[in-house]
Formats: sequence, C-alpha cells, structure tokens
Amino acid sequence: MKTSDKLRFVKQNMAKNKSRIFMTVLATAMGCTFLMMIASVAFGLQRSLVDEMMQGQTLTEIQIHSKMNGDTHEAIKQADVDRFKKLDHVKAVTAQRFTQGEVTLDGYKTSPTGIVTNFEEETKAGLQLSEGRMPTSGAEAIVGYHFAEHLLKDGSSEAYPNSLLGKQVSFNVTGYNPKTEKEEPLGTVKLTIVGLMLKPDKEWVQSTDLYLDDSIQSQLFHKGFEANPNVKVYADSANHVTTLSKALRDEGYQLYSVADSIKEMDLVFLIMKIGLVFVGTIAVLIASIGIYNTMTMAVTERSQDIGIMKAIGANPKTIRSIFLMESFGIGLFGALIGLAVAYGLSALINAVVPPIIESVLDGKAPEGFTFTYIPLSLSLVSVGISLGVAVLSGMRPAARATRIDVLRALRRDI
Amino acid sequence: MIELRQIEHAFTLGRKGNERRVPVLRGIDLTIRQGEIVTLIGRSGSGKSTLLHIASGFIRPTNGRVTIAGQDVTDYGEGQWADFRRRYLGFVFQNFQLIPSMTAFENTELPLVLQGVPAENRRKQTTELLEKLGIAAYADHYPSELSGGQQQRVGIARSLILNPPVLLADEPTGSLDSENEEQLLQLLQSLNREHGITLLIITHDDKVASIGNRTMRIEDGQLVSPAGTPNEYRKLEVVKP
Repeated sequence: MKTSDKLRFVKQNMAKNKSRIFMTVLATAMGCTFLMMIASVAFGLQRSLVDEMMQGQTLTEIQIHSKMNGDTHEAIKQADVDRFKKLDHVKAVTAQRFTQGEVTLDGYKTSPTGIVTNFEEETKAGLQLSEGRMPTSGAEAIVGYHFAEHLLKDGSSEAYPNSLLGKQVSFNVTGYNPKTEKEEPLGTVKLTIVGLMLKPDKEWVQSTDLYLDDSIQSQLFHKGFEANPNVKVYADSANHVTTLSKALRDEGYQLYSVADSIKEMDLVFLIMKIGLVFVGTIAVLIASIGIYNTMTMAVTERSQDIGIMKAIGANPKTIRSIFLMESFGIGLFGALIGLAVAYGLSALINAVVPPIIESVLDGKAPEGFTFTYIPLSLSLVSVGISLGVAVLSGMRPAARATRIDVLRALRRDI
Repeated sequence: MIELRQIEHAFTLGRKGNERRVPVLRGIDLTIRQGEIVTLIGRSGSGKSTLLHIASGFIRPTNGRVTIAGQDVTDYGEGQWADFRRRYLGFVFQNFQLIPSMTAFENTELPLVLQGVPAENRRKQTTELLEKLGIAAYADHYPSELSGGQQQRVGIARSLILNPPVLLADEPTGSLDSENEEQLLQLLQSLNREHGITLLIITHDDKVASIGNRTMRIEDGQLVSPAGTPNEYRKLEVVKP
C-alpha cells in the first residue's frame, strides 16, 4: 500500500472523530508547551548569565593575574608578556598599566585613569572605537565614550560641549615615586585625541578612561617604579582557550578565562536543563494517556473495517502503520501547536514581566535579562519527545489492531 | 486448485482450567479442480463454514494440509496469508461486509489500494468493473444507500477487482430476495464460464447448491458425497463446465 494512500486513510479516519482528535491534540500541545516553557526558563537564565559574564570580554580572552613562585605570587613582568606572544595559538597579548593625573582642555578639567597600552596589540585583540582611529604615536591618545561628560568647567558642572576628536589636551601626570615613597607630580604630556571608545553595553557603566601609547611610558611613571600590568592573552580561537589556559597554568600562572567559567557553568545548566526537560516530559506522558485512549477507541470502533480489510488481503504491517501514522499525526499537530504557543508565551513573558517587576515590586528588572529563551535545540528536543511519546502511545493499540480476529470482526458465528 | 487433506478441527470452549474440546471437522478430504463450481451444503453447526474459513486462512486447522494453487498454505503466517489472499482469493460474504464509511467505488477499489496500484489505474479498472456489473451509476453511493442486491454486486466487484482465480462464497444469497438471488447466481455462473473462476460456495439453499458442478454435503464434520440422489436436485438447473 502506498504511503499517500495510507495518509489518505489516516486523514479520513481523523476527520471522522474531529472533536476527540482535537481534544487529544490539545492535550499533547499543552504537554509540549509545558515541557518547552519549563526548560526555557533554564535556557533564559543561562543566556542572561553568559551575557553578563561576556560583558566587555570575549571568549578567547585569558586574564593573567600573577605567577606562582613556590607559595608566593609574583607580578607579571614584561619578560613574561614577551614570552606569551611567542606561545602557540596566541593572537594578541595586551599589558595595560595604570597611571593617574589631570586632563585640561580650554578651562575644562577631569581626572581620569590613564591606561597605558600597546595599541597594535589592542587592535589585534579586537578593540573597537565608536569614532576616530587608533593612535599611531605617543603624542596621540583615545578616550572613553563618556570622557567629555566628565570634562567639567572649573568650579561648575558644565561639561565640555564639543567633540574631542582632534583636540590637544594636557595630561598632568601624578605617580608614585619610589625614592620619596609618595605620590608626586611627574610632568605634563601633550596629547591629541584621535579616537573615542565604544559605548558600554550597560547603561550604568561609565567609560571615562584615557588610553595612552606605551611608547611614552618613561613620561608616565617615575623612574625606578615598575607598574604591574593587567595582562590579557587572546587565543586565536575559542577552541584553543582550554589548551592555552592549561599550558599557562602548567607554567605556574594564575589566570581566569570566561570560556573556562562558561564551561563550568554549562555543566551545571546542562544538569538543570535535563532535570527540567524530564519534569516537562511527565506532562507529555500524561498527554500520551489521552493518545493511547483515543487510539484504543479508534481500534475498537474500526474493528469491523479492520476485519474486512484483513479478509481482503491487508497485511498486518499495513494496518499497524496506518494506526501508528495516526498517533504520529496527533503528536505532530500537538507538538507544532505547542511549539507555536510556547514561542508566543515566551515572547509575552519577556515583554510583560519586566514592567510587572517594576510596577509591583518597585524595583527594576536586570537590564537585558532574558526570563525565558527557546533555542532551536529545545524546540527540536520537545518536538522529538512529543512525537516519540505519541508513537509509543500508539504502538499498543496499533499492535492490537493487527491482532483483530477477522471472523470476530465480521461478527460471524463459527 | 484447492486441495484439503485430512482436515480436522476442534474448538476449545469453556473457561481456563475447565476447557473442553469440541471437534467440528473430522478428517475432510476435498479436491476442487480449476474452473469447477463446488457447493457445500449442510445443516447449521455441521462445520461447512469452518471448512470455508480454513480454506480462507481465517482459521488454522488442528490437523491436515491445505493446498491452493499448488502452494501449501497450511502454515502461512498472517502476512503471508494477506499477500496470498490478494493474489489468489476473492470473497463473497453473506452480509456483503462493505465498509460503511466508503462509497461503492472506494469499497471496490480497496484491494487495488492494498496492492499499491497507482490511482489512475485504480480509477480505470474500478470504473470498468462497476460498469460491467451494472452498478456504475451507484459508484458514489454509500452502502447504506444501496439495496441488498446492489451491495452484494459491490461486494462481488471488490472480490473480482484483482482477478483472483478462486472465489470463496459464504451464503452469498443469504441476505437477498429471490429476484436478486437469481441474478446473483447467474452472475456467478457467468464468471465461472467466461473467466474460468473456481468457486467454492457454502450454502443451505438448494437452489444455490444446484449451480455446482458438484454438490457436497457435510454432516457432523464429515463429507457425505454425493449430496443426495440426483432426483433431489432434478428440478434445479445444474451447469456443467
């Protein structure tokens, strides 16, 4: 028997009991929706946490804090930085040192943190600007996105009104003098602002730093003072982060990478998701009782038809496949409806919950927080579970259909 | 064409632990040649229907062998029987056994559907056969909208659609009036004459029995042959092949 004819049979059979089939499909859809919604909370939570962890960082980034020498921590030295650059799978190494001072421009002043770094390495690491370009010499600098807002007229709260690009500022450097062991002025450096950093993702983050080229280090730190750098090693791909981290750890470096943390967090969430999918599957299993009942009734009602079909040469496999296709159909309709409802509900929850939190709890929902998230994998797993459970529910009634006694079905005395 | 050898059958009745076996057939030997019409008569409970059901594969005999078209089908499984029935056997039932939710056309083409015949060929073959049997005008009618005679013609159309060499009929006129009975018997005879279809007919109606080339009587599970003296059937028309 051709599949198209089997489908026609299934369609006709389902049309005979529309209301019963509708209720069964509805139960399956509800089970599927419940399964997806309960698991989508874990996916949403994970997504929010990963986004939070990834804020301002990339997956390929490894932060090196110190080097262990026996039981003592040693600061990372320039020699270590140079060594990192030669390691396999390293794309870039940034070493940022921090200085302080006062920036003045046309009577406006601010006291930013000066970040001294190598812009060539920063560019390789993926540093991006919202405006302008990277400095090409020590006489050039870039500033944070909110720098101008903090550049205030002396004695007032009036911020610098114009664009800073192309403007020359004076940076009056102050630093720790190891000779006197005090913070002392070091001198003034003239800098031309050539670039503006990207706007931070979070509204509450203020980007007010001054970024300087490391070629003028001698003008930024007192002689004899070696500033400890904030070192970040960037792997050439996320796949090499683990290998690179391990190699660095083996050499005694203390480090942290988002990728490692996410991997650990993924394991926790994986266990959580499996647990929630399992709980959700119980709802689908409850719906499967309805499918079993519907299919059993269908077999009972059609036992005479089945008997006639068997008498005129219908193979038991054909009978079984027709009933399995019917239960598969119920599962498919239920899963697709459940899928659509789950996506709708998820969008609704993500849109409605933050205002509710704000109005009812008098607080603010975390920025960018995803309450529920349905990735493609969850959709596929949910549809797969619904279909699998539907087919399993139909197997016993289908097997019963194949065992229908022809003579009994034809209501003949023997 | 059909060989039944030493067929014995007993039904097990009663509750578990308190069963008793009731023998129905006791060593039946019957050979039906190709193109022959054999009618089988007997009182109710004599075992004639059981014998037909054994030949149809609906019941497996307790003992004995069944050979149809040269194939020993005694130990066939359900799947093998299904394929065999489509290729070799057509069935005519007393109560027509049409599927109520299908039209006359759909009931007739059902064996072609089960055989996997393409829709276009099915339509052509079914239309031709319904026209031949004079019921094309009722193709779109449901069984409940047809008379007994029309329903039985649809049943016969369904049994013939795959051109089986053997037709097994169980009380084929049992639900028909005398006029329709006459027409049906003429149809069965013409099928036998024109297409050489082998017929095994179970009946308790003497008129139906009279169309057989041979008429066998079954009594208490045993064949009594011949069925009776020729005088008993002298008034009936007997068609010889």
